[in-house]
Amino acid sequence: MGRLFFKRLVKTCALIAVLTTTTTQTAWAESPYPREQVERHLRAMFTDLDSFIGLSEKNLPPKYFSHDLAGFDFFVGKKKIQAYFFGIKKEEIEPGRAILENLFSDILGISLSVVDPYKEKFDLIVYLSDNLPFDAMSPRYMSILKGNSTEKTYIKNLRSSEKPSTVYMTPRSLRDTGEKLSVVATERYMSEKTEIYSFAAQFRYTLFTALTGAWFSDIIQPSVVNRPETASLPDSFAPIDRAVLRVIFSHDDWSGLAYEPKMKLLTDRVMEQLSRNL
Amino acid sequence: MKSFSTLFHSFLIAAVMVVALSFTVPVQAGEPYSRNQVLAYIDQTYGQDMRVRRYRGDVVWSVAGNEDLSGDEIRAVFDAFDKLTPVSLRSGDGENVNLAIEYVNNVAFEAMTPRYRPKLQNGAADDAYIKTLSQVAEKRKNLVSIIEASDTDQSILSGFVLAEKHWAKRGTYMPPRRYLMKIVFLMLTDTKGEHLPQGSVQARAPDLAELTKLPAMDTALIHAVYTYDNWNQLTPAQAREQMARTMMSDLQKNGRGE
Repeated sequence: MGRLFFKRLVKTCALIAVLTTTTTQTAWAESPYPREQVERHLRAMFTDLDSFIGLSEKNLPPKYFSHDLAGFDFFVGKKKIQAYFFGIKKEEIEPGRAILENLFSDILGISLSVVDPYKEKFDLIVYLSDNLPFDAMSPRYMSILKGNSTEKTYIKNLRSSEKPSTVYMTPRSLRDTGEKLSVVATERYMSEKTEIYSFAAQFRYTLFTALTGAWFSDIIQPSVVNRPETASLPDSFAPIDRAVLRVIFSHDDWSGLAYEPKMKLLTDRVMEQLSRNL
Repeated sequence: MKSFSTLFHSFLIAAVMVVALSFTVPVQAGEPYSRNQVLAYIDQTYGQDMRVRRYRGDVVWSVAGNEDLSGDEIRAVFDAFDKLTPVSLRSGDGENVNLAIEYVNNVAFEAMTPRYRPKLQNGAADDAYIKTLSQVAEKRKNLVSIIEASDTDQSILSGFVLAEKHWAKRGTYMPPRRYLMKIVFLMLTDTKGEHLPQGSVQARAPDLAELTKLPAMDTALIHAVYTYDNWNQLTPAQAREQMARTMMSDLQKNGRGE
């Protein structure tokens, strides 16, 4: 029932595609952060997975190129994202709707359509759970999260995810048809510390990561990608978050770039965006 | 022989120990308990059906995965219970174990894995099993247990417990010795652990002090459970009266009963 209610509410904000980056109305200013700090923040969020795992793109089939599957430009070029959200509680519907409206309408300027994943195509599924390893063992989660891994490996990964402070899974994939799919499963309670990481903070981080593949970074604070135990989290998308999201989704020329030139271009554009004081 | 309904009912004793109950024991420590207070405690512990179960033979126990207590501390807890019952409690391993406790990082998750699910689900319907586990999944502050009992005389044949390893992880806390005492108490008495007084070892987290010994009312209850043999032959009313009489006698002997 909560799911239907949420679906209905979110549909009211679906298909809104209003670009809000009207530079003529914007005051230009200095970026609030030095370039070096911005670059480190971006590099922390968007790690060079090739060097991280020691693989070269030459050794991987074309469909697994990191700039396709691990890059921040995974969804770039899409004018509409079809998504579904599992596990939203009744009291989370209103704050969730507000966050989605803010993100898709005000910041990204692309449309969001909430779909029935059993009947319609989808690009993004977000699972919100009180206990992710437990829910991940249920058929509804497992059918999508397990992918091609064996049950033994799947359970082993879930068991090992108990140790770090974050329980989080982001299998991104290309379907046989070439369509992109991002699946994010996350817990409401991410911090090992006693305070509870709020739903709103968790939802913003989850969406940011689902759309861009970002990892945690504490180099610029506040930001929705700050670790909950080390930061005073913002109560909305922070200026650095808005700048990064707008830059990524307002350009479609990222594809094909190697990691270093891609990061340089991203840093240049984020600095420019920050100077617009949006 | 074990019956499905009995086993699943036993499974439902999975205790959700997150929310502190508003119920408080109306007697300060050291004051004598009245018969009415004893009756209230029995009712809180057993509910309406007053189904009293106990081990008849020796209890061979094992504890795995407890990272908070030393082997000596664990043994001391069982030794204390050994003194309270006519059955012998001794440690063991392998097939002889009939009271096994395993501490894991995430009880609800592990109960869904092939390692534990067949043992714990034990023929229950998938939907019912998952629904029950989802109640213990939310805050990860729980235990899941199953007791195998004889259909003939309702005596406990074996018990298995999955217990949460790190109580301090997410905001609430159960002191480790108290937690183990609670588990052993629940398993030796097959009590439900649902509506429990705070002054008892059965109380729910959070904000519970560590225990060095079993509280007087719990001690009287376990004495009573193991003093009488034929609980299965009594009606609920008779069992309640038998329990109250024996507990009062025990409390009076120790200067804790009116």
